[in-house]
Amino acid sequence: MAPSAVFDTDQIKDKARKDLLYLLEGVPGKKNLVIEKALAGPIGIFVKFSTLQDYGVDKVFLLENGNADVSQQNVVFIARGECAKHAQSIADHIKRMQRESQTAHEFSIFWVPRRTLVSEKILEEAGVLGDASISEFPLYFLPLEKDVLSLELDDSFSDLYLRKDPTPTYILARALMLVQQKHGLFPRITGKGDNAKKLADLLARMRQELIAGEDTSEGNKLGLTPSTTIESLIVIDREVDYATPLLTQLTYEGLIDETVGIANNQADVDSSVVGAAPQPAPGSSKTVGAAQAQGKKRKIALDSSDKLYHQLRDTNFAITRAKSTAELRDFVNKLPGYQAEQQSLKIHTGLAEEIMRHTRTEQFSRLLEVQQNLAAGADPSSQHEAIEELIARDAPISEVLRILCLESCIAGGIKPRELENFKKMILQAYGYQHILTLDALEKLQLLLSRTSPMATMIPISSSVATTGTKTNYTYLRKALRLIVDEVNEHDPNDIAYVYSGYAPLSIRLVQCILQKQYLASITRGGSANNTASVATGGPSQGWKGFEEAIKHVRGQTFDEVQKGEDKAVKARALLTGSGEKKTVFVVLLGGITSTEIAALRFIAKKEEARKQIIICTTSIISGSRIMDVAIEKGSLGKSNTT
Amino acid sequence: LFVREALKQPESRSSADKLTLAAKLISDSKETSFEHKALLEASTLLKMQEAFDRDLTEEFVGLSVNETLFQLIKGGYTNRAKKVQSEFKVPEKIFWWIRLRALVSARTWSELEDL
Repeated sequence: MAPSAVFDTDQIKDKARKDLLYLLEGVPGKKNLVIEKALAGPIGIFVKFSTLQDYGVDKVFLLENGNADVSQQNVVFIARGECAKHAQSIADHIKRMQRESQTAHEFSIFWVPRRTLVSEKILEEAGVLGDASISEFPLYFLPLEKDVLSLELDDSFSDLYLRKDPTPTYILARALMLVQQKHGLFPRITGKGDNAKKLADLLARMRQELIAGEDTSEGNKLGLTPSTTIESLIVIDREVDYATPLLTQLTYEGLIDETVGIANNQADVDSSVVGAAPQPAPGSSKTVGAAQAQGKKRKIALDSSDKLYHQLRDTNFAITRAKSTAELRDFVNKLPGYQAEQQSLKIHTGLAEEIMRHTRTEQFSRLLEVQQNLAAGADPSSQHEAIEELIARDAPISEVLRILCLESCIAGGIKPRELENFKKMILQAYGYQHILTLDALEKLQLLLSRTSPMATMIPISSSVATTGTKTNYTYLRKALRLIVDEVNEHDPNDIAYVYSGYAPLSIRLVQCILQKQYLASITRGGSANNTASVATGGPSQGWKGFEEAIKHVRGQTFDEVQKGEDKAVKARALLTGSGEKKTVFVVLLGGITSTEIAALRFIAKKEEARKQIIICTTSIISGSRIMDVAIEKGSLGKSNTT
Repeated sequence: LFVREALKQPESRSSADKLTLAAKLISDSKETSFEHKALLEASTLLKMQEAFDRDLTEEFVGLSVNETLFQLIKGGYTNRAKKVQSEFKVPEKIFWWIRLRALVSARTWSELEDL
């Protein structure tokens, strides 16, 4: 039973599909599915609608629409168990259906990923708990790509940082626990950030519980010895590096995300941009989610099954731009003339042109200029005039706030008088309801005044070397070489290419940790000597100062080794042999941007011979999505219909 | 927070009342002096907008200060716009930008030339 050396995310996909279909089999006869909106997309990733039909699913409804009909006797609800709102609306549904039809219905509820006391309580109070059979659908990680696992918790950012709700951390811990049970313990857990620490603690506790709760049969023991195929787990808390997602993403995928938005590997693009939907060719990605969205918008699946997209997605958009439409066509013509490629060509030239239209606007270049200047550490005050102008010209509020937050993050708060000025301008330009927005941003510690107690905790001199309470970009810019001036966008030599010159701090940290591994291996044995010197590129000369640098990053630092029984370890090491490719799990708690994924893939490519990097996250985020969390939607004096 | 409640009020009048109430609540604390001022401004704006709604054909309630200015200038009510500007101390530069945009969208080129 030698576990495969390379971690295969398809296993997870298969398991999720099997789990769901197994649950569906448990409900005899034809049935209607009622799915929570936020789950419809994820489920569409791993199971096709036709497969569902094979398992007796007649129609699929969205929970939020409240329009599920009574045509089938069996009704199956699928919703997240943590959310009280969903439990309530399920209860409403059940009551309504019982009222509306004479025949008795069989209700089933699948909670994702687990049932909770709260939702059971709500069902009980509504008096429908007894009418439904309840099961759990343990859906945790969703493989978005071969190397990206996501929980797809859309609210994880606001949960963690605005409401300080640790649920995403818990779910992530459970998900990682499942990985550990299958592949063995992560031999080493390294991380940065308070929530990351919490995650590690949770993992340790769950492990203890597992040991205490289980009889020591051989099979279970396996899961509790350090894995030989996994090298380590690296956890980075989003809190550590807010600035990176606030910058405009410049990879192709990132820009699509910024301009049209990507959800669950799909983008809703106006059909005027990419042409009308093609005839559903056999094997095209007709999923549950796509089946429901018709009309003007067209859903486009964006994943690496599309060869052209696979090549383009992580490149800096400057190249995509350079490749003119004609060149793209040439490229595709060289490939065997598959129809699928022709189609994807049409889609991507359309998309690229749309993005170009966006990036060519004056507003976009202004924004970018300000952002780059701030990231490079220019005096923030010098940028204020440009920001003022943006406000006066009615730029979207999310963009304006993004820049201000970026300034606050990088410079350690904005000068109180200037901040007040900006606040006043924003309220006047976008409405007074944004008092709440500004308040939320302050709570997120994204927009702070320099005098506020939270901002002043930044150690001014490097001698104050307690654990950082705030990320000090001014210091790190030098220590970790966040700004790379001579970046080659066409033939990237450093991860900084993704932001045209700025290397995301979060990913730099990952680089540091990976190099720390090398350091450890040198001290143990000389065999890894040469690998250390060819380490990940970029700041490889600076790794000695790494411990010092990390003190300037916000949150707790930890580095733990998980040991098992020595004998078992040795035995397994003998069995599997050495020199194999090992897997490193990189976890970004609180979300990752597609640009950061691109940067990680860049590292992964360099390390291809020795390591496989799996990226785990709670959700894919972007700067505008962060702002959406904070922005107040209503407006004063207008009747709010929603 | 009372502001949330104010957001829910369908009528602009009751919403203004709530805002004043919220303002009173936080007026004691020194730290929130900025918010206090903003809330007072908000209710002033609402009152002005109501007046505009009565007098003019366009709808104003629910707009922000800048949007109100924009609408006023576009509609050609320059004097009213000036009043709003002084009331809320909108900086000259921003006012200028708004005026430019509004005049362009109203296509009153003759006034544009006067700038």
